[in-house]
Amino acid sequence: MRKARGTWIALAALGIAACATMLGTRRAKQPGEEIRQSHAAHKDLPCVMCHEDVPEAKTVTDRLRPPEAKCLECHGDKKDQKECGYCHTDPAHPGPYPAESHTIIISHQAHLKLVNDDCTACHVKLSEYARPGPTPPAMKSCTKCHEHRVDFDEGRCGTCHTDLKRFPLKPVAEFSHAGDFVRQHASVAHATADACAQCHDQTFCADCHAQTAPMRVELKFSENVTSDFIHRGDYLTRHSIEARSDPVLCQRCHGTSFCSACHDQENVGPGGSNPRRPHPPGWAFPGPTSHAVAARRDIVSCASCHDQGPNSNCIGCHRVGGVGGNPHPMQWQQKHNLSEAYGTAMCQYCHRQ
Amino acid sequence: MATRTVVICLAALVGTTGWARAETVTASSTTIVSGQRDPRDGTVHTVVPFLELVSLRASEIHNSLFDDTQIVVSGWGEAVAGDPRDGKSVLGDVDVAYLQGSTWNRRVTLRAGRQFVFPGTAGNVHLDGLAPTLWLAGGVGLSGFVGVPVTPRFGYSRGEFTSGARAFWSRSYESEVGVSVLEILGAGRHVFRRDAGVDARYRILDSLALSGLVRWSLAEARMAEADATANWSPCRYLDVTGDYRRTAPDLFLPRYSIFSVFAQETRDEFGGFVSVRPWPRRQDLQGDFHEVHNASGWGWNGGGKATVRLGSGGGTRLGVEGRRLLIAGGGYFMGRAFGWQTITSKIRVVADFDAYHLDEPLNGQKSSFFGSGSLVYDVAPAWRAVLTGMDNVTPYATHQIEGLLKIVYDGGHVVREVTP
Repeated sequence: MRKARGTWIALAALGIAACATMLGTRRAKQPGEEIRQSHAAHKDLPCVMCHEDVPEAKTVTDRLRPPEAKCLECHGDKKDQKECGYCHTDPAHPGPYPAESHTIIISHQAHLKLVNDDCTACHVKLSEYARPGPTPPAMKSCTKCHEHRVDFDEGRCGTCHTDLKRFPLKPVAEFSHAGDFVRQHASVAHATADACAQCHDQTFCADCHAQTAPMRVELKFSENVTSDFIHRGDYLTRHSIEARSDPVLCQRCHGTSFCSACHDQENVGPGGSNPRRPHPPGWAFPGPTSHAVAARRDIVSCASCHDQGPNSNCIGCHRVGGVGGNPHPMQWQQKHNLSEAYGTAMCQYCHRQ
Repeated sequence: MATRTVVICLAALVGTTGWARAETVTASSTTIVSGQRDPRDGTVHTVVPFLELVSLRASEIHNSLFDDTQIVVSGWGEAVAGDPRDGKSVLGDVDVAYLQGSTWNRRVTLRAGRQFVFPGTAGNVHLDGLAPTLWLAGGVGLSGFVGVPVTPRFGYSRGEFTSGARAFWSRSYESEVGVSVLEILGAGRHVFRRDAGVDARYRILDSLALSGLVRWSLAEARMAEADATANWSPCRYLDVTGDYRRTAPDLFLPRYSIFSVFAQETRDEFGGFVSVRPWPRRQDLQGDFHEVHNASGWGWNGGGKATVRLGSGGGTRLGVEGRRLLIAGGGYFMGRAFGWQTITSKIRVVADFDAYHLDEPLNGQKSSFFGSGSLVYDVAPAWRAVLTGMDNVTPYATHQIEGLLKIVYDGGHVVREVTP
């Protein structure tokens, strides 16, 4: 029921966002719809005569292309004669330049000085009358001056690119995912998730991290033997050892309910009929094999089978006045008191006024 | 229910992209048919799941409200023949389904739908909800999220409501400092978790990056986690990492769990990792060692791995790996060998073999063996077929064979070509 509610909330949020996008949608660029002009025909004019905003531009925006008024300074007669097709590729629907995605970060202001105001140093290919539309410089125009080797190796694409996802990805080995990256990637994502998002959308994360994933990633990518997957091989055999070694690592993704759901299915849960007891003799009594020692040492393991809510089997012995005595750790009373217990529903299973 | 959700989400995606005309649409589809013998309750059952995973991403959707608008959906459906473990023969769910866009000159980004939130104390919250980010000035910004935690498969609810916020200062994509809070509430508005934290990653030099996270439980006024890592990569031949981590396992239990009042122990782990690549892209030698300390005493976890690529174009790959985990109560030795051989430009074979030796017997056995072999065929551009066979002898199964056939399509459609 809770899951169903959560899924419907996800759908509602997606629906609202999709509707907002649709309502805000303006007519997208259609094939053939552009403003056409010839750079070759204007070659004797300085570029900044038309592209007035370029010398001071620190970012790439639509304003780097000249406004209609600039064209009309020389070609106003064409508009007066309603020769829309002189510039507009779709004269039936004349309009401004189609919206473009500006996914490159560059300061024209800074670069013009470096190329002595020679725009063709980067803009080798320009639009022509028969070939309208944007002609952004190729990446080699950038890399002939900026090697960006370190940025490239470290995957620091955001220095220049705002969105890389539509570019074919380089092999992972090209970037800094070498070394201990599988172990480190969590701390990288905690602090600089935007860097990851430059290349990876969340479907990539979902392969391993989705709570809803249908199968282990090791099986999904069974042919990928070189990756350091956590649950590779016979993980079932070693899972209890790994869980004892680092309970938080399991808990972070799975929670204790994950353990009990599987243990119940395997008939090794607390209510199962399996005659083999998982606990050693003497478990219930004080001593070296006492459950109290184990619980202090690894409470998450206890919870993985026995956490059925406050009224679980601990309460039977450990309630106030019970034979089990006080189960709280020594420092407990430094931060908690009886008045707090009387006001907390869970505590009242043991502490009744 | 979840299958219906997948269908609705895909319809929403197609409808939205149709109206707004995404200029780039990428899609992937993975079909997996596997057959396995599943021993449980003293009987061997046969299970044959048919699994279909689909993900779609539409980007550059031009509209007047948002820049960089994108829709991302990933989901799956499964039909199980034979005798499924949980008795359900038809299953499905949505892993990710969100719409994201930026506005106000990309100073505000909004993501809505089923998504992950990673930064700061959120760590890895999978939720249905909203996550806005606001970039102020000078690299300073605020981000937040609010929603319902996704219920894990094979598990129960991990809270009914979650929210969090983070203030950050980003110097570059690899240098950022953040302060964050997280709250997860369970049934009846009881606190599941309530944490505050500080996270940082700072690239001091081109070759040296430091990162860390401190998570403080506001509910218990104790440190739940502290993590510090230094990574030094002086050249492409060498990576060295040193790290330290302290956790309080009981603080990762729901605060309303009765087990959260029985223990206050901590676990410490520190160690390092070295990767040496004498001939980059051809050889990689790795070693790691970590000391572990908890209430049971000291232990350690260490291992090594060597990978080589042979032949022109690295058509042959071979690797060996060994690991030893030693903790109180017993650990294990692991040995592994794996390989990859290209037969033709479109066909390769892959093999993997793992063996474990346990310190303490499990179901009366101390050894476990697992082997797998795959035939990979790149049928056509964007299409791949993989046939995998697995065989294992473990403390849980005297002999188990499993087969898997996978067909993958991973393609895209770009409306507007951009010269990179």
